[in-house]
Amino acid sequence: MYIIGLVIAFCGIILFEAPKLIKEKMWGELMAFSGLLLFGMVISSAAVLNIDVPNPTALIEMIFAPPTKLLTSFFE
Amino acid sequence: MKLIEEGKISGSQFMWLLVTIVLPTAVLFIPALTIKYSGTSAWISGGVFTTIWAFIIVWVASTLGERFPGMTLVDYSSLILGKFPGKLVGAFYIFVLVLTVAIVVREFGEFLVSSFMQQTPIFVFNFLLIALAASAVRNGIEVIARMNHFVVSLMFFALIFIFTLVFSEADFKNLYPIFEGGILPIFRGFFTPMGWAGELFLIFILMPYLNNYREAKYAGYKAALMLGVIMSIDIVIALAVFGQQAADYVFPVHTLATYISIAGFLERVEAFILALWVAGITMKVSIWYYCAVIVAARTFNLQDYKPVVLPLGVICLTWSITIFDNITQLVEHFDIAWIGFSLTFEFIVPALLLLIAVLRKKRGAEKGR
Repeated sequence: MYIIGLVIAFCGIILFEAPKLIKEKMWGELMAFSGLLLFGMVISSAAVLNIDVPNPTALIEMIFAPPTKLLTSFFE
Repeated sequence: MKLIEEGKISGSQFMWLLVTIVLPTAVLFIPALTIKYSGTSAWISGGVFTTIWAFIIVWVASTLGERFPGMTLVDYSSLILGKFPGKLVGAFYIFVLVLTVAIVVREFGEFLVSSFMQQTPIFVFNFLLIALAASAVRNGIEVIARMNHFVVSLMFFALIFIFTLVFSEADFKNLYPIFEGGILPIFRGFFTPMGWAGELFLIFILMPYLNNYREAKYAGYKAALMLGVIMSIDIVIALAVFGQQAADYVFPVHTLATYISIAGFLERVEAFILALWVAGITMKVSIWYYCAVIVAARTFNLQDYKPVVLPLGVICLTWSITIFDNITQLVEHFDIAWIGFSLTFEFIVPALLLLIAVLRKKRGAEKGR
């Protein structure tokens, strides 16, 4: 059900930004806009549909938890 | 050198921006997190040590910025490291800034949900905050800086209001014994607030928008000192009123506000305090969001930063909801991994950039803007 709201929101964002960029031939801006928005679409749809996608904080915990633990263990 | 935006801010506006970059969430979260490890000596680790650390961060970030006057982060890291590694630094900072915006928004949402509106889904608060911040970012740095000047005074008013009115509840015997468990717990308690004090590293992203770049270092030191004083008072008052139990509350300062009761007449002022605080957090999110957008625009070589505002907002909003399951996980994350991560992007990367710039004798044109 939420996915419909999401589609409407993304249509709104595209209609708000894209026509101006196409009219002024700002292709680089259009590329950056579409790329980032596509990434946003993927993660937000996945969240709404309860699909597991890699989580940035899980990634950070994987890389930085061991050195952090080492650092704090000196002071306990 | 193109700056994407023509906005310019003055030295004092820059200083207040730096205060807002740290203060709104620090005041809410730091007392409990510091008292948990340092006990009665928490004000030393959360106030004194963090101020020293903030001075180091300010020195590194502003020395780096002064070497390359009027240039943005992505431009001078391309000059220092070469074109492709420079873009990688830019991409890394887009990730860092977007993720931090998401976390700050989540902190705000959790604060509102757990303290005031338990029935409302957190999505509502996060969405409204991001939408408001996106509109601020589209208006540019000058608008943010001027609005911030006004909002900072509201925040100071709220803080002074809380601190003076709970004074009758305070028992300063709770501050003894000092150095209870030796020096180690003080250092241990310092690691968590370190991430907050280090947020002043944003100096090197905001510096090109300063009228006179030489004012940045001085403004940074002033902001660091002011933050240190506020955080010390914050922790001392929380300790004096609650004792070591303060560590059990997630938001001791909010609980402090509920203690205010003057002659059965002035009560339940925490809702009023909240109204002022929401304004402060909105400003904090706007500034971080603005930095993320600017770095993204420079990394992708755009003429205009406005097209990337909304897409980044969508990512921030989604992450703000999906990254943590609940507030316990959020607070734990600060302990488990955020210490090492924040140390990396706040200190290690800028310090390495500065070191390599010195070794390779790279510097920007000396004319300044």
